[in-house]
Amino acid sequence: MTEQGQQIVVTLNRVPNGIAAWLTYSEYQVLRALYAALENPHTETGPLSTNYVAMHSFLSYVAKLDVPETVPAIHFNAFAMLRRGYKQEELTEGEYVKLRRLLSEAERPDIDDIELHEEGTHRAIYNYLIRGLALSVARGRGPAWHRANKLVTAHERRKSNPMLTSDSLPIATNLPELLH
Amino acid sequence: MEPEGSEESDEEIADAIAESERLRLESEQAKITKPFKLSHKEWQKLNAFFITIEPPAQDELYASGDHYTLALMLYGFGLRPPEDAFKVCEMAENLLLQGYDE
Repeated sequence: MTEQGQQIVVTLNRVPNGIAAWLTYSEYQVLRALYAALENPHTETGPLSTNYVAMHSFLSYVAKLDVPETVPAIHFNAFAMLRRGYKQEELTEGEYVKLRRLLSEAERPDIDDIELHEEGTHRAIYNYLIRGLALSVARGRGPAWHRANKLVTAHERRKSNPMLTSDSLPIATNLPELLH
Repeated sequence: MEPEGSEESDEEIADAIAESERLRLESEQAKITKPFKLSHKEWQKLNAFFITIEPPAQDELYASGDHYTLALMLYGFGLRPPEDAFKVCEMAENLLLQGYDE
């Protein structure tokens, strides 16, 4: 990391290092939406805007972080939480095989590609996630493909290292009103 | 009776309107298709930083100040960088490839 980057982390970071993601997929989607609404941190002066207040609440109550109520700290820690990602649910071997097969038959779309046809492999992936596995996923072939890919990758990583189970990960226990 | 000084024919007026519309559309098209370019100074600043940083990793378990600094730099240029560090780097790379305004 550059000296400039290290300085920012030392000054602003409140996201614990070395710990796997603990937000759920739904919480992560809320985080994305809140981040998208944040104003340019360079131009924010004076009292916190409602968007920064909402993000601070999310970071405090959902992510369980102790973040100072300043624009630089809120913006940086939101970005860091986005980088950490969300917790991957565990798949059974059968679920993994099916998802792996569907992924191998589908092209990799951009994660923000929200198009979704009524038929085809991307639709099959989406349907399998929401109906077969009863998981939440944003509608679209991009979100569905990338969600499935992360599940499969996490399963493969767990198989290669059985010590990595979701039980060993910290979990955000309460969802604030933001999620409803 | 036509008012004094209004000697343009209907055809000329129609041509003038068509020409004005053509110019307006051209101008709009130019705005749409012209890629955003940094100033020379901004380009140099971005390039100097970009070449010093590592690309982001998947499932990052450590906070990265470099990718955030890059995002902040793009905000400073009046842009709206994406939330994803991979896309932030992609945006910076594309800006550098586009060059700067002379």
